[in-house]
Amino acid sequence: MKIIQSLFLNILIGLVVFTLFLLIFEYAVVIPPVLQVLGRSHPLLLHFPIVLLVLAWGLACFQNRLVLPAGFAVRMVYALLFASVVSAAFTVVAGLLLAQEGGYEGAYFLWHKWLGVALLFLSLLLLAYHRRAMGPTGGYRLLFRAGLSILLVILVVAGHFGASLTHGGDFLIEPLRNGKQKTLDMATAAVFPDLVYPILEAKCLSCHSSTKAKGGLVLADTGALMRGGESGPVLVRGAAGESLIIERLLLDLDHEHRMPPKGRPQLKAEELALISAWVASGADFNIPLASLPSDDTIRRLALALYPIAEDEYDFPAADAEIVRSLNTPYRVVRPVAESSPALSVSFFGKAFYTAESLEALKPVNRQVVSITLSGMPLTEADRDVLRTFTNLRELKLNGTPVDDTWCDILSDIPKLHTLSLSSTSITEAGLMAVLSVPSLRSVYVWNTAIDAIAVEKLQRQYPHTRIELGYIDDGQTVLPLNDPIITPVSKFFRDSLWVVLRHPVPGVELRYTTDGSEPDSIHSSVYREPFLVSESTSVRVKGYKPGWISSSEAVRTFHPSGHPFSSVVLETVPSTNYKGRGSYTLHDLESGGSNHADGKWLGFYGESMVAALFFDKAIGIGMVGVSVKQDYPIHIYPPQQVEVWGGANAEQAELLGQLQPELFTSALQSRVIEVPVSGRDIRYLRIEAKPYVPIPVGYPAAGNPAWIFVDEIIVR
Amino acid sequence: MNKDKVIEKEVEQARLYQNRRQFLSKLSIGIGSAALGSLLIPDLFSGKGTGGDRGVSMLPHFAPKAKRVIYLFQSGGVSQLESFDPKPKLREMMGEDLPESVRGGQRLTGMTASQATFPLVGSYYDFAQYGKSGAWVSSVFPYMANVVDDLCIIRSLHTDAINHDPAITFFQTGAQQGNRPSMGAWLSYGLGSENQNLPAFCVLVSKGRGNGQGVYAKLWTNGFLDSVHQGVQFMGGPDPVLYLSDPSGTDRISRRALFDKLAELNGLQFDAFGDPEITAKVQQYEMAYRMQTSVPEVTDLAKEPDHIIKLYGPDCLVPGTYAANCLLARKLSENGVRFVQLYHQGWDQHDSLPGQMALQAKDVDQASAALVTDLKQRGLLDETLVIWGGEFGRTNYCQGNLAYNNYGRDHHPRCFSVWMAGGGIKPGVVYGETDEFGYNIIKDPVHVHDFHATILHQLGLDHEKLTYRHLGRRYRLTDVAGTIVKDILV
Repeated sequence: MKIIQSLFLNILIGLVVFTLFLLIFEYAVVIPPVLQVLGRSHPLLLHFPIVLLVLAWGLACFQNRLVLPAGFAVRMVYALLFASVVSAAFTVVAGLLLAQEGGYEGAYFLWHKWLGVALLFLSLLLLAYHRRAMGPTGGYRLLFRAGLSILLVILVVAGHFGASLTHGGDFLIEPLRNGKQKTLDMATAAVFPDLVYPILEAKCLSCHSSTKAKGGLVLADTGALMRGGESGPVLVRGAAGESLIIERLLLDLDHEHRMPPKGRPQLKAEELALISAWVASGADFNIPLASLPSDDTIRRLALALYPIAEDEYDFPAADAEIVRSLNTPYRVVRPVAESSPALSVSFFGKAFYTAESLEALKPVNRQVVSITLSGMPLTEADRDVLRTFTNLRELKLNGTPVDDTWCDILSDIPKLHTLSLSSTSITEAGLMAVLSVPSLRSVYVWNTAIDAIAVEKLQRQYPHTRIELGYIDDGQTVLPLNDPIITPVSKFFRDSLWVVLRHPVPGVELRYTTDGSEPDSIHSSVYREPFLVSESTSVRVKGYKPGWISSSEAVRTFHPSGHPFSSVVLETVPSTNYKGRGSYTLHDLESGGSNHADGKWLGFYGESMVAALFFDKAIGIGMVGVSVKQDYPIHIYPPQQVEVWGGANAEQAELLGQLQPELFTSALQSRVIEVPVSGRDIRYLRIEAKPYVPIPVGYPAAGNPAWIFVDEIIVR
Repeated sequence: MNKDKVIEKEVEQARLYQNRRQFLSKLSIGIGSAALGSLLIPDLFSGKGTGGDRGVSMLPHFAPKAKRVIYLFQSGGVSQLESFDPKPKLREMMGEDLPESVRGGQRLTGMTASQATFPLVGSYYDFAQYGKSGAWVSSVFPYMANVVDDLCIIRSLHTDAINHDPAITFFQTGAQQGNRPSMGAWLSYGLGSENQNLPAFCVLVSKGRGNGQGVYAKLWTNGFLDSVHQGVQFMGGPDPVLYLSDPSGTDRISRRALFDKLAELNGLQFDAFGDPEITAKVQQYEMAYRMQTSVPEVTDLAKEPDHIIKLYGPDCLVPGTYAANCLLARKLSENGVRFVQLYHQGWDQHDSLPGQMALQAKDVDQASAALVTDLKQRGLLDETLVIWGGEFGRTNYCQGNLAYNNYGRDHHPRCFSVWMAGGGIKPGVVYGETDEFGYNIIKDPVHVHDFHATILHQLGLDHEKLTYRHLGRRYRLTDVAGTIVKDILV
């Protein structure tokens, strides 16, 4: 036992000497790798003295209260204290070795180091004192017990600094601070004191303060910052690239001049970018954040660094029952979010807005932060009610009878930051009054008497508030009118037809012709009322309005359907997808639209349409028309040939006429192919329309069979 | 027991929602699972909740940036290479074969899978940079180019589907197969209606002149959610909402009397049975009654001033056009409609792309830009999220015959461009990057699930907590994926 004790005593002496050596020759020592391993075991070793010392303290102070064999407590306290001292010595040496590796500096480190050393030497003293520490009554003397207690306090404090060193200073109490994250009030913050300086404070000032001033550089105040350090000025206004402070921040992490040096807390990318942007922008110490445009780099970086300052509401939530009772279909009162005390109110339905609508909110006027009153018929009385909403942030008054007399009231609302006054009677004077609200960030004045010149002037005067004027028709925007609308849509009629023309844009003058000539704004008739058409007529119409480019021409050719046929039989079957209304399609007086799948077209793919027409009484005919669709890109062509056979019945039918329609190079929409025929006493007609098979060279889908689409047959 | 007694007991149980046996069996399972649950999910009893069904709250989880969404869906798949993602390399390599290393085994549609070669084709249209942000926009979108500083263009969206129906269903519902609730239905379920006089989820459909694909009610379905969350389609004709007008010969007074009597009878039934569905039904009747006044008010475009007509273009007065739908979308949104879903068909340019795309662009360009401007000038853009884009992109190689002025492009899922504006999304930003071939994403990919998660986040909803229990498990719009794209948030 004695041998072990003396062995440890020798080790202890050796360790204490080594400790002193390390403390004195700190800067001159190079640590071999083997000892570095010992150094890195510091976080492991430190637990031994903690436990042992606490046990020693407990036993020494409370031995009287414990039932123990005689002499046991004394032997035990000595053994514990001895073991504490030895382990503390190991821990201190390991700690000093670890510190030699670099990367540990600053106040936490210094406190930790010297408290650790103090702990070692104080415990050594107590160990030496132990032999004489027993009092006359059998217990330890007060001095010894006090010494152990002090040791315990040092232990806790040193341990705390050590933990702060590895885990960060706020580690311990961070959970308590949760939710109270530092925020930034965008409206009042200034760039240097609220954005740049906090970064310097956190990352630079531990070495570059007025007390430490490494390299002669002090960053703690603006004057010193401009003066610079031993290497000269660090800041060149407007030139981030030439500023030493930026250069050092950007050096490689292993470079000897790199700031902050390796091992120290580094700047975040956004922080670095923010300092650079601030220097580049001229390093103005007083510039307010709100004066920067919304897309400014500094502003955006500020938002990246600080979560947007959520409005912190300093009022209690309103009674949920009252809030519920205020809700009607025309007044919606809702909390901004779950568990938020703030309320947002919207009004709907101007016919249901009454004098009490707004006033009813009085019980919750502290909680309301946003009101939408757009389009509501507000009255003078509402003006005074608005004043009572002291926590109002957002107010929408678009399209209300609000005028300049309201502006004094509005400028009294202390926290207002967004105000919409579009389509109101407000003027420049009123706007000026509103702009005096310091918290105001955006104001919307589109469609008011305020013009661009006034806004530009006020915007310069109040750079912190965005004044939104919106779209103004300055007369420079000249757009083409859209097409006039000709009704009815269908091109076919039995005897006569009323044609109605209109245009979607109010105030458009419609000029039209019915003789096939192009309409113009001078010679053509002005459309005033519906007109009657009784024969094949091409209606061409254009719209005109001052300040607009005239519309393009709308054309519709109306065709009388001629002799009605009593029935029609399709001898070939149309494609399954385009069956229209069967054979009735050919005499339903409805024309197919631009969409070939609208159910008004009969479609045939690579096959003829053969239709047999029957008449109740014998007729004489001069023309047979087939109305077809043309859309070459989707393979819809007119027929290559149309043949008309006719006679008294099917057996006696002979060829009455045929036509090969011209194939125009570009063709859209539809046309009526008129086949001149001559026949008398006709009771039966067979019409064959043959598609192009194949489509000729030079046209879309050449070589493939063509589609034909037919919507009506006309017999005259 | 006689029949009446049996029924009485049923009603009693329904009122209590459970009987003794159910109570005891639930209790025993309940305590065990609560203990296990609290170990596995530490937040379980913290009061924050881990996403039970929404129930009555219908409030955002946290303060929202956006209150409403207008989604301008460009159905068919707009070519990113002719809109927002210029690739000069494709013009240089015109007609050369797409290297297999770039294609990387991408699954192709039946339309080009059998093509012997994949000749690269550059944009027929020129691009230029616009605005302070200097974003590139193609010459077919002059109006959008003007408002580019209000837009956040995402060039790196990608999807899993390669054909229209699965792709558009995926965008709308977060799953390719259908039967899940549409995004608007999720929002209606999560946030409720802002205006009790209009549906929370409205749908507007228009058709362009290009090759189109169908859109159908499956896309705005409520899926397994309550049917009140289904999208309500507004039509272009005289009857914007079907079955809303009174039958001829009925006036407002008799209609009111009818509803009052009906509510009285339903009230009796509710007192007897306590079925909450009865109350829901009464509320639906009341809403329909109110919609009879609110809908004509909103859909009346005749009172829009002249400069609004110039802003959107004169087509905004022609019901059923894209421009008219944009104007209507603004009015619905202004009146508190949570989610306005537009569809514009005709972007499926398998051939004749240069001709067709110019026509398509002409139909949507001015009104899309106008909507952004119009919301902005009323102070509504900050709280309204506008989204513009299709279900996938188009290939960098030509489908069919290739000429510099006439070519087609097939479907491409690996990258495409959409833009967002307002609603707390960074303006004047181009996000994500594709390779010089415009085929693969090389930076900041955004998957459809990420896109959904971001939209919900802007509306104050945690996409992991907005859930609905169905068929034994909880469902989310983002299924089991989705990361919020923080970089594009203001």
